[in-house]
Amino acid sequence: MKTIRFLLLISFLVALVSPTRAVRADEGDSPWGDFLNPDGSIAWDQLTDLGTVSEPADWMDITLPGGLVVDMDATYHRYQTPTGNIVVLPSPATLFFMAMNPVESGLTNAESMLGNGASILAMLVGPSLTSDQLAQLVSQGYTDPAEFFQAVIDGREDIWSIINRNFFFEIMIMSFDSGFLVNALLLYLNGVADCESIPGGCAGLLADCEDGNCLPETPICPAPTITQAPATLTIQKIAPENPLVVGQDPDRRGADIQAQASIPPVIFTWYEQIQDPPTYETTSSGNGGGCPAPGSRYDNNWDPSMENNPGYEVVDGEIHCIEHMEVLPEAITEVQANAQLSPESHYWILNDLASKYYEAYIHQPRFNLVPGMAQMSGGCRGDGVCTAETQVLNVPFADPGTFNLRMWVYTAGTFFNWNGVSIPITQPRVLFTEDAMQVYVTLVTLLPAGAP
Amino acid sequence: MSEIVIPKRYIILSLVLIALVAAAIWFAPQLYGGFRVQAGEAVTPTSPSGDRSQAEDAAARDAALAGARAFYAMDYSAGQQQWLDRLCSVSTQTGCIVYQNVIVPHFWSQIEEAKTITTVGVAAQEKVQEQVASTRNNAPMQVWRLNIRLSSPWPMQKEPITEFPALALVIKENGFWKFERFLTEEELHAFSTDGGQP
Repeated sequence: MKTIRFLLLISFLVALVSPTRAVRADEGDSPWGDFLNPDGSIAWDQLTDLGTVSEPADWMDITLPGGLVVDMDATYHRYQTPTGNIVVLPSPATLFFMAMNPVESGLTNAESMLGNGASILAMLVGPSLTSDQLAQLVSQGYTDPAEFFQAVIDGREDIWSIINRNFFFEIMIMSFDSGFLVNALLLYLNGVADCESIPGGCAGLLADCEDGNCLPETPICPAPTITQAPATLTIQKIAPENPLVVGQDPDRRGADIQAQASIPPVIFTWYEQIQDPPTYETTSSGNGGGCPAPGSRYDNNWDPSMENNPGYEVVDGEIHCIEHMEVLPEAITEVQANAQLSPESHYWILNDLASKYYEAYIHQPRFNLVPGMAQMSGGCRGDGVCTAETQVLNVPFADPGTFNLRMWVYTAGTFFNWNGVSIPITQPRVLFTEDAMQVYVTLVTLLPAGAP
Repeated sequence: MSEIVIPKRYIILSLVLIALVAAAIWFAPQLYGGFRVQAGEAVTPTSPSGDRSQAEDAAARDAALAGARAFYAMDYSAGQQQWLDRLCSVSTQTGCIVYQNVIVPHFWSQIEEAKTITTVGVAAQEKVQEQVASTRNNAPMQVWRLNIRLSSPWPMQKEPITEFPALALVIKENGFWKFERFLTEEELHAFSTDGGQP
């Protein structure tokens, strides 16, 4: 049971690889340095686990017809640093409501966070966005969904303008199903001294930590680690070499586009702490505390006469750390890809080209390649590498210019099944890549005869 | 050889008779329809897609009514599980999980303590929104405005009112319309300004 708790604890925090990099960039004398190692990993021995705490939060209330209100509690898992700062990990539902109510929830009081409000929304909502919704964001001028999420945090956009209302319940269910699956650590400076204003309040905090004397005991076994090689994503035109607009091509050939994604597995290394049963030993001094029943707990033969017998004492069993290395495939759940005429080409057609060819216009500036015109195929191999691939053939580009090719790959994150318990190790994520391709047009130029 | 003579007026009468029969056969359907309209009967143009749409709306409306009834019809003596079972039988899978983990446990202690027993009457007023749920494989979803009348107030209401409006969100799941949850007017407003998106 202790091991399960330990695994659950580490699972809350180990999925921080990419956000950690963001913090390290401006680390310097940052308080994050209290518990971030130079390589970006978490120094677990510097954090005191304060456990999970819930508190009423009216910014999370659910209103029902007839004047009924469900008072939802905000739930946080909290950790204390040696210098008295508090690191807060909200539950997914809490995190969602915090992002929606940044002032009321105290989100804006945080010194900084691994990730920010926009990335929180991207983590929670991003994987549910469809290609149509992404297209809608583009039509609103957001080339990157993160810009839209930042606009939501800033109060310039409404999150519900792109996601369904039903998603509200799904966010809540994340809290039940996955524990603290979505990772966003918030750091509150002087949290111990100013505990009234931090999420979760003062309960359970350790006092007098300014001189660093509240360091927890150093764990016996090494902290768990996760590593993962970078994913490889490509989307590119593969044929023909110089695609011609279909309107000028008698064969209406179009262009072929290839999209590929390959995600290496997460290597999760953890250490199981095993303690041998205690043994009894005789004491020469006669000051032993005796060896209490039951005898089955001892590794050697126990006798009732040893109870309350100062000639004997209990010696704790030796502790071993068993290393386990797990290869966890990160499955691809969805791929979206599109080709979109660049704004520059858009302008060129409607201005430069239209000035020479009367009524030149945009035929089709956007193609939803995946899943609109093709489906990805792939899966996870025996070595844990998960792949997805497709070729979209004969895409009928009818407009000349530069088309931006973009691909989003959604993953399920990774899970470690330990004795029937599924423990999230890394969070679901969205990977993105883009490239560009040219579509050509033949233009006729009249030259005076005999011109050099 | 005798000669048969047919009077000219018989020939004319025969031709008129034939013309009348043909006209009757040709115009009978239109005339019948016209009589139905004059008699006040509703004549609905036969359209398979229109029928389907009406049937979908009716099924969605019934799901909204069933959800409201399951939520507000209360007999504390039957127990919390019976309330939950009733709700889950008409709810989406997602809705059921939330009722099970959040909403029903939140209210139950007060319902039990006050020994709440209420019957409920629910009337559907109108369909106010229709979209697809992109997070549920683009399943159809609708919002219905309902009117709810309780036989007596619930103990945890802010005001002890027995008649109030409600907005019910229903989603088609595995081919059946199911109740998801109640919406607030503010949520409906946001819903409506989505422009039917996504």
